[in-house]
Amino acid sequence: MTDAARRWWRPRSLRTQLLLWLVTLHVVAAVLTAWFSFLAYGNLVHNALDDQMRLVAESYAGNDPPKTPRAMDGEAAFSRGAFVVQLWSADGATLRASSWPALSVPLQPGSGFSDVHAEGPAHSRWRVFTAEPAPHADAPRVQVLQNEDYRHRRALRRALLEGLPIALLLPAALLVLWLIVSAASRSLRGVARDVASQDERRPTELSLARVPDEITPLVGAFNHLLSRVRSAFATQRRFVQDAAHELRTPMAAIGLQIENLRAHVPAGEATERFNQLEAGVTRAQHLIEQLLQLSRQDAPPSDAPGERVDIEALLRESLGQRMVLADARRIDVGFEGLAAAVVTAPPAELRSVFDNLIDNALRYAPEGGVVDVRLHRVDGQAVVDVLDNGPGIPPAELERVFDRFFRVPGAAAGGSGLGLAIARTAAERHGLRIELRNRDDGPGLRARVLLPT
Amino acid sequence: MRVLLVEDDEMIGRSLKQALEGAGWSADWVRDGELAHSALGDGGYTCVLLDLGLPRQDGTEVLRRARERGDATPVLVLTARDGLDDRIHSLDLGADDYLLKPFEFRELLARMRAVVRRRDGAAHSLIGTAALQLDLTTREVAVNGVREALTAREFALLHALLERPGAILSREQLENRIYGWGDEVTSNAIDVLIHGMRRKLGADAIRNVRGLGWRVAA
Repeated sequence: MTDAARRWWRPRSLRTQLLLWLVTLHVVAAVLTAWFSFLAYGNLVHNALDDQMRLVAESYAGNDPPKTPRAMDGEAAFSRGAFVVQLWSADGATLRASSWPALSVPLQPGSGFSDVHAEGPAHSRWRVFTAEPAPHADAPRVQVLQNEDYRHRRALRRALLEGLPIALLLPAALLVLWLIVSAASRSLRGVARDVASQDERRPTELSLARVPDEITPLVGAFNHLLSRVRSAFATQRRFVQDAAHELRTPMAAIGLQIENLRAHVPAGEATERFNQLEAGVTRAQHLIEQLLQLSRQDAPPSDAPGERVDIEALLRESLGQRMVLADARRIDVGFEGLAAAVVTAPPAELRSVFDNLIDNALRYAPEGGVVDVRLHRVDGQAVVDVLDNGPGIPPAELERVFDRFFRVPGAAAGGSGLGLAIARTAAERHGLRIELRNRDDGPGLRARVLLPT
Repeated sequence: MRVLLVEDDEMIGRSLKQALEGAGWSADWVRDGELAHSALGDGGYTCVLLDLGLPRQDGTEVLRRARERGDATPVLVLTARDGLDDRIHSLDLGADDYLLKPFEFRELLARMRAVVRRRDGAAHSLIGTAALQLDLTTREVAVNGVREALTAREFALLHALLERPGAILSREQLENRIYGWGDEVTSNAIDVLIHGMRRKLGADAIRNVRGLGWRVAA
């Protein structure tokens, strides 16, 4: 379901959802409370005031001679609900006395309660009680009136007072809800941060300490998944180690047998074939080493800690160990350390970047060629250039050479096609960047490693 | 020179024994840790080649027990495990060197010579490579079997370079080895010395790595 398609009453946010329902519930509760108390209290007020009206009317009717109603004004009638008492002649034709003469409601034909609508200055609805005619004929008729709107207002005020606490509770409830949801979403964001900061190759369990109970199953399930990932990684790492052992042992034996055979190979064609066999074995050994290096990169890293590595010393060591290959191909090797550079990373990983680039240069430079390694600064950034005078790489293939097992068509040397893939993966893991381009100043390739600043 | 070869893999064990005997060593081959332990107890070995993953008793255990007993025979660990921890662990236990399978047999021989020499100190007077050997007592060099006399500085130069054949030594390292504190060293003194040595030993004997220094091919 897209966001747009979501109904307004089912918002995505838990907080909005809770707020929406809480506000609705409170409003409904307040309205219902007010409504019911209006009905109940309205009834109560009505009956009580009716009783009072009857008592007042009877007290006037019982007096002989009749007492004069106390004069009052409209304000008392309207806002205080004062009773208006009318004394009529026995035949009901003449109004003898009234506490508020401005109210012109005639004597009602029957006796008892009725509701009338008055015109004039007393324009309103009135509750009227008309007393029974007295037994002796000349006694006045008594009629008591009360403003109906006053009664209504009084019931309404009371009803609103009943609903008020619930209405007042609403902001407090909203505040509490806001705080609870905020705390819950804060702890969720904490969990999310923990998840986001995981090293994907070395996941660690999430802490349950700050997680609300409702979210615990989710975090627990996630932790379970992480532990399965961890054990899968451990299995993979063990497999790579076992494979390394199982592959290297027979290769070592074959290497030794070839060595033993060397003395017994007669000169001539047999020696030539023997040399081919030896080259093949060397190539297979190289390929196996590269494959192992690659699978080690895919497996989670060992706990080799990052160190501050002096790149110049690292390059000297790497070159020193590759001199056997340089000797075999009579390559003239040069080194220039024109800048100082220090990178924080596991030394073995950095070595695999430079070892592979230097290896390639030594392999692809022509027999008796020149390979230069230069540590210097370009535009203020420390870089390592590995230069050879080999055939270079066709421009169309410059990106593809980083693919696993890709070898430039027609390339002579017995490479595995894995060296650059290994170098790039190791480089990227530690913030180094490798750029390959053909040299402008003659044939050959320039492999440039940009060191992290 | 007797070497104790501890290796459980049939194929490697047999080939390595053959190769060692071809190189003039007499090799005793045992296939498990217990046998290695008792063979070491008999003594008389110049050097031990020790595999780590062994039946009955792990190679590291063999090494630990030998060192505990005070056995100082040079031990070179040969293993297909390349975890950094394994390497550090076996060196900590008292291995003299560590070589990862598969290895070049020539490299193994060079390392064996090196650990034996280190253990014997000055007792072994011949250092160097197959092509270039330096006699530390007579201070002569043999180039493919032909002996040549050396001046003091030439001897110091070759001594430095042949201690670890193949290693690159910088100009500064060579100057420190050849000249004393008080000596006046001109900027091209080393170049002149090496130029002279090449005339004597052949142009390829001492190789230059531009920017890094000089080395002899292992």
